[in-house]
Amino acid sequence: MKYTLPRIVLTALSIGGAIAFLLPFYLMFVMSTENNAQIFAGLSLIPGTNLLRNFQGIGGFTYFRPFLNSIIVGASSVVLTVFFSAMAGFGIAKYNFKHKDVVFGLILATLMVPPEIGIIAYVTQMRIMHLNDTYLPLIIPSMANAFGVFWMTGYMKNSIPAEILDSGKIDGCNDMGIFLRLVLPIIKPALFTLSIVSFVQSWNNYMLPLVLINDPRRFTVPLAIAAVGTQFIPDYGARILGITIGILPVFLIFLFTSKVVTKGLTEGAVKG
Amino acid sequence: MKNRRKVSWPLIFIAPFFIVYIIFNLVPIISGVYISLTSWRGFGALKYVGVDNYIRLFSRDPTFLNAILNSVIIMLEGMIPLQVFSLIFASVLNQKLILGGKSFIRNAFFLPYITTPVAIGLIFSVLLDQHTGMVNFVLMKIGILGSQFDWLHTASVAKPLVAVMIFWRYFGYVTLFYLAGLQTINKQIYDAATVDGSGRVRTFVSITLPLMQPVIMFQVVMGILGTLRTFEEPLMLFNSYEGGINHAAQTMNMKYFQTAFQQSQFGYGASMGYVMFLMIGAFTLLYFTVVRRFAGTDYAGGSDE
Repeated sequence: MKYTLPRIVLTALSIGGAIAFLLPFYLMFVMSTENNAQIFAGLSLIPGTNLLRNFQGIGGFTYFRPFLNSIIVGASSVVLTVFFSAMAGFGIAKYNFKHKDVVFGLILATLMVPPEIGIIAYVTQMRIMHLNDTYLPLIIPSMANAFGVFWMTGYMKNSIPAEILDSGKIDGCNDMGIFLRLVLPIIKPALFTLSIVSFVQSWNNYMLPLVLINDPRRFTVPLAIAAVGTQFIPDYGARILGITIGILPVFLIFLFTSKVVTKGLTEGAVKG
Repeated sequence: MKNRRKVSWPLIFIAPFFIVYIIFNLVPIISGVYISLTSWRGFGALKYVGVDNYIRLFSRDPTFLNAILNSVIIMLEGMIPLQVFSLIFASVLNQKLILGGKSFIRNAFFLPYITTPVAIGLIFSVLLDQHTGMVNFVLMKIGILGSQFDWLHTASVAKPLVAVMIFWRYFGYVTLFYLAGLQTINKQIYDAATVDGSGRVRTFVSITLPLMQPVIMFQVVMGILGTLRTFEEPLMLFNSYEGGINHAAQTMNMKYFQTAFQQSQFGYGASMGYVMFLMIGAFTLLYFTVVRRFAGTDYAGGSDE
């Protein structure tokens, strides 16, 4: 590749832009290590000395309780999303049946319906069933993840050989057996990608827990971040530490799976 | 089972999606219509009031109309720069003009997209704080501001700030989305254009844009749907359902949640949800119509391969 002037300028601009995009995160990290005096003293790019005190300020290790809750909700949601999306995707990608276009179109159409439209009646239903302040109303809807179905359908169209249905039948499997024993192992990479993506979706969800979970012991992470971020804590840095810790798990996941996640979220949708 | 061998397997595979969607999404959406015709406040008997709530929305609640307008302005202020700059940046990345650090660039721009939206609003509120925020420190140091500016209590900058958060959150994602689309375009088409003496800009306008149209259309529709629903970022930025001074950045969803859950007006709030739904649908349709008029295609939805 030639080092021409436009290339050097564009590369410098892109890297500069990337650093600018990261800067808010870095500043949050720095401020979460500072005491009030250091924060009010102004712009600093070097971490301060108050990290431990700030950590005590948000309650120490008890602050991690919502993380456990979010992991429970997220892991359950992932299992349901991935399994049922793969199953529906398999049904659409590898079978021909009457009105298949209509069925797929309906699934896509649900993507366009904002999920909060029915939230008042949903909350009411859950209260009647005494399911408010439980995780079930946050988990069960993941069985119908339109994005997951759409994504899996696109993936399976290209990666599952058409002969798989016949080969399974020779071995005496019914179609469910074929799906469980032959298809799922083949699409392991896709299952992994969708797991990561749907875990992040679940982890970031705020609207549903906001109206369904009132018991602070059952808060998920976004509720905990919102609480620590908006309530009065004398140590300003402690507040910021609470926010920073809350986004850390997703960052760590992304650090190890960035290629899979970026590809899954972009190419999957384009090629679907 | 032997004499009924025609089990419809695809039906069995797809049915769970629809069953769960109907029970947990569709039934609430439909039964909520009835709630919207009552004055219910979340407990006791439902008192039917007809379309009173809908009349009240449009005749006696200027803050709701204000919220609709805010959402539309925030959508436009966020979406237009977002789509333009993402498409340009994706083209730069696609033409192999970047010498190095590609995966760093990709991941750095993408990171805000997976960040918890609640945290995004709070991060910006920290950075824009009048006394401790980095934005004021920097702007004063380089002499743009003479004194500390109160970003979060100035109505005129409220909506642009939300648009900036939207840009920051989605820029990397939309760019990579467009990059993935650009990479599906056959290289030979570009070679042919170069042979014919077509310059970079000309090639972009007359080859790239038309070929990318389905991808752009899909992205813009999802963007309109997403940004009209903006909720967490302004809620956390201003730490109120009102969206800053004079409801300056109160979006439809903020007004909806404030009415339904903060003020416990379930019936009235429900009616807002449906008006919001119709608004979002109308905007999507309007966009489809405009694109069809100008591009003369009957394309509608994701790409087929």
